Amino acid sequence: MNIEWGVIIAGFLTLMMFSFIFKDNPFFKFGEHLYLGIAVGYYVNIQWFNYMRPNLIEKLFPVLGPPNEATLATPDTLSFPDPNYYVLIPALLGIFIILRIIPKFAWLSRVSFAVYIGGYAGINFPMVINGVILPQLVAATAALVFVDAVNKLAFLDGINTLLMMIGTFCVLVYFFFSIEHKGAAGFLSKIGIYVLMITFGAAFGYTVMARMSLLIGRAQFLLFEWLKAFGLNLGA
Amino acid sequence: MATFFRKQLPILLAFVFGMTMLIRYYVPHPISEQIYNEFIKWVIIIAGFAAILGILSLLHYHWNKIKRRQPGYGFSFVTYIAFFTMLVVGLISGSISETGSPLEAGTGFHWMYINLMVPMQSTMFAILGFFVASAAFRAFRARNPEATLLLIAAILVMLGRVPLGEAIWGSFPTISDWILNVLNMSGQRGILLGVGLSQIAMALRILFGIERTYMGGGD
Repeated sequence: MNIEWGVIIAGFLTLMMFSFIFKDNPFFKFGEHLYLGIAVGYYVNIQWFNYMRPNLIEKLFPVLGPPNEATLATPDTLSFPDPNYYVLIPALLGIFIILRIIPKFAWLSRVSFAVYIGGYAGINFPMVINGVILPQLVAATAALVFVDAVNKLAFLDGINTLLMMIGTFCVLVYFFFSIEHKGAAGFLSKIGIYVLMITFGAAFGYTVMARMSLLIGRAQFLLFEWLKAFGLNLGA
Repeated sequence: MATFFRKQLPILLAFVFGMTMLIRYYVPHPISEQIYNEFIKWVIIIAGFAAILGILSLLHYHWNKIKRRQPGYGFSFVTYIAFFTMLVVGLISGSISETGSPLEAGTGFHWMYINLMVPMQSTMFAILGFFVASAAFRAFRARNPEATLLLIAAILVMLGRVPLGEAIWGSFPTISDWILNVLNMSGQRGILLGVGLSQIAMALRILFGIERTYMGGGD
């Protein structure tokens, strides 16, 4: 019989993590620390192979990367791209960040953060306007249509559009802190709070269901795969 | 001069890089596209080094726990062993795999990912369901109209998403969809617009040197 060690170990680790439901215990602590180490090790590898190696190492030492596509057909004349020494600039900025661990040179990391955050602020500015604000405004101010394409009465669709318009407007009034929330502004912001509460409730319900789905997935794994590895076949 | 390098230079760099990225958006030219792509690569490299700092910090924390024999220091050994095992197995797997990716099926790294990381990660998120439910029980008691609305919306959405809800009353899925597509959407839209406007304000504050929290404290 072929023993599926992977499934057996995965099952024990699943039970270890589940043991936290009762209370904090050494089994959970072991699993927690094991997960931490493995997750960080995973992240380092992904960071290295997917980002650092192709964008930094292979740019400095092209011979470690893929050869020029045009020369692939003739292995005798295989050639590689020219090195790109400009990547030494972000590498230096990266080293500045690591220098935070030496108090005397910690200020150097400001330069790196300035490039990173300043650059992203510039990228974000037009992207937020074109990608978030304008499309959302267009959607929020959609025409109130009470008949559909074939002139059939679609009263409820129109009411829904109107509700969405009012809801969005009231939420925005609630977020507008430059005026005191009194009188009409207070009334609208109160409705805004109600709309936000419904939104948070819906998001919460959705999140709980996603977690439940994961829980069912783990239970199915234990019952139908893990036990099967021990010769207990419960079907499915 | 020292003050210039420590205080003015970062603000100047944030302005120059920010404005370059902002202006290049409105210049549809291959060079502009090249500048953007190159900057994204720079950012990836800087983020890679920043990750090293985070990992060093984690290892340092656990090293101190071991050195000082703090309670539970044995578990810090587990973290160390797991980290270095995953690291070494990953580096070997990536080097010998045909695609150059350590996650190629059949490698040791892939085996560890599937049989160690995935089950622990999904179980961790699954048990969060219990804690979210117990926290909700305490937080969502209908003490005021706002909490009552939140509670009702959550219950209706949950009932509308499971076959049990439909078995109790056939209209639960319809009500759930209506809450998600109409009321929830208007709230989300308001939040998105608020966040978007804040992002623009923050971007302007950074570009013009008003926002300096990224520089940290001290000299």
